[in-house]
Amino acid sequence: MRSRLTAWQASFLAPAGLVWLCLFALPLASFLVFSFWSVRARIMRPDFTFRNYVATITEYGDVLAWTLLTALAIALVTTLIAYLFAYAIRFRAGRYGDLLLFVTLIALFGGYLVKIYAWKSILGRDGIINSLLMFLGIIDEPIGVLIYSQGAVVITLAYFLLPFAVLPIYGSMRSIPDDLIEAARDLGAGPIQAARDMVLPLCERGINVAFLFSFLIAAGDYVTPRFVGGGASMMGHFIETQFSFGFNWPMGSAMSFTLLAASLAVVSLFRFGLRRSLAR
Amino acid sequence: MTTSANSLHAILELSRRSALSRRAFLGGAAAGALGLSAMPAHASTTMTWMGWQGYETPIKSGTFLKDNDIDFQPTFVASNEEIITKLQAGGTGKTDLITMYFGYLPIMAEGGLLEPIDPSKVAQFGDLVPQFTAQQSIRFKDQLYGVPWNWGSLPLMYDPAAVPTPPASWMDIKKPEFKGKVAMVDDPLGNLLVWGTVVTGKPMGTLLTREELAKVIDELIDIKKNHARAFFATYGDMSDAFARNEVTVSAIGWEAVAVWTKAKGKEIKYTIPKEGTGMFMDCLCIPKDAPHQDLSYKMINHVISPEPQKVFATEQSAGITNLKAVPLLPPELAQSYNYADIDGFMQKARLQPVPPSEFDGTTASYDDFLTEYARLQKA
Repeated sequence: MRSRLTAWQASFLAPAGLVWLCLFALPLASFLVFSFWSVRARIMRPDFTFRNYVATITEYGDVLAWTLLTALAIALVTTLIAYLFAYAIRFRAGRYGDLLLFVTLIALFGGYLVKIYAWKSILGRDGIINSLLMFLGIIDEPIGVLIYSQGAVVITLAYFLLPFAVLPIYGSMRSIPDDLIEAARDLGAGPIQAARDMVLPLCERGINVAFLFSFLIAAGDYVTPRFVGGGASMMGHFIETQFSFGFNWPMGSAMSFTLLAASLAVVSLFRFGLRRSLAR
Repeated sequence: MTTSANSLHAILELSRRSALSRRAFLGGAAAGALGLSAMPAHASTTMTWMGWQGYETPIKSGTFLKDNDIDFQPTFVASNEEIITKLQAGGTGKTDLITMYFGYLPIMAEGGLLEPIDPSKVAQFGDLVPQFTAQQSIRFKDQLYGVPWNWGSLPLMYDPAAVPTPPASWMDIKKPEFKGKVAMVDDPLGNLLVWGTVVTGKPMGTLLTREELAKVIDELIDIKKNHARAFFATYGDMSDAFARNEVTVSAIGWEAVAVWTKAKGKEIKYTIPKEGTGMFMDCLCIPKDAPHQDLSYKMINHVISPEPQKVFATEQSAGITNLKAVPLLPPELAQSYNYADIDGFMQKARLQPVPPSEFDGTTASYDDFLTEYARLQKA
């Protein structure tokens, strides 16, 4: 019975497993193999060399570090705002909570590039913010650094990622019974203490997922920095270069796996740090 | 060479086979499905094309698509490099025609991304501007890989409302009044085409020693760090910046930018400074294993015939290659590209090859250039 059930389950899982194998695992494995190959005269050659990984560190180590730092800043900002927003929806907004949740979902609609161009219009020299500040007489000249700066990259990506971060945290908060919070309050905990000592530890998984989404998407993104960062280049841009007119798939593959490994290390560190701080 | 070629060919072959298998499977499935329903009298041939937006207008002009029962599927790109990426990532075997900057053709041919072109199947090849068809870079190992079909230059763009007198030199963009108002574009080869000559004084700014190449990149880094508003991702982005008054001059340009910016309600102009500039020539190329090669040739013949060339020149303000189409052009357009003295135009705006594949002890290679250019991108 047990084995028949397993086979029955396996038959359902097989199509999804096949898709995962063919569209994810095998391509990834092939790129891992390519990363140890070499290139000469635009032609990939089967090889087993670590040269591409060494070159990734020596030639692109600074870009890698910058990418991770930028992604970390974006992920932390996004996760923090998402936590506060989800908290407000779940515990503070009352009957308006559903409306705020709906607004969050609405923000998922609209294309990625559309959002980038929207922020270009908002942050530009004759954008909404500069126009408003000039209209109010706060400034005489438009502020140039609102756009084509690292700050613009953080704002744009944080806006884009916010719904992805709000939803898992809100999901965690929904499973927290109101009775638990009320019990904490009855036992003398203030609202901040209840939020910190009761809600936060119970949202650990949601926070981890929110950070994971935000960090990995930000670390892999290179379009936003190019469009609103004024040329700020992230690792993804240099990886794209290797795969395109660099004709160097092995190098591009090595750079991709290095970024992947470094990103997973940062995510693991965040998870470890969060667990440690919540355990205190 | 043979071993290395075999390895790539093995990969391409694998990609091609999987693509063929997929097509065969889908074709079979589609045929089966059609068998269950009413069979149509005939089916259009779907032809796929990759190139810049606006470049498809001559293809669609006239009755060519209808006459040949073609379902035309264009894919627009933001850079030439995007086409290379798409072809390398499985686009060969599925794409019928592409447009490509002529300088990349030898590298693409070497990388096995293109089919050689049989000039005897291009009826009007003899009518094309001889200075263009004579370019070595459209050939690789004595085989033709591209048919010249449009051209232009990389002029200095400026906003006449803010800059009444056109800058005389490229170095004028470093004047204090333009600080923070200079537009740069992340166009690797384009930047070298312009600034290779400006910095070194050499007419071929792409054929430099490693030291000269480093100086060119140093100059571009200085402009990026100390003078530029931004290092824009695309020419379209630069056009937006001109339209929004973010910038007033540019460190690189393209005639089409003026057309796009005018459509946004802002008039900008362009000039070729005293140092000259680079020139581009885009070719029609058939990707490796193009599925409908006979139709690809038909499409090439259509696109370079006089009437579609006229359509392209007038709608995109572009230079064209078929000399028989020149008398059809509005006089101002014919004059601006100086068809009467193309040699003279090419003295100011020069067609330049990409850097050589291998370092020969003197001239910096293509890989040297990419390594140096990464410095600019990181700066």
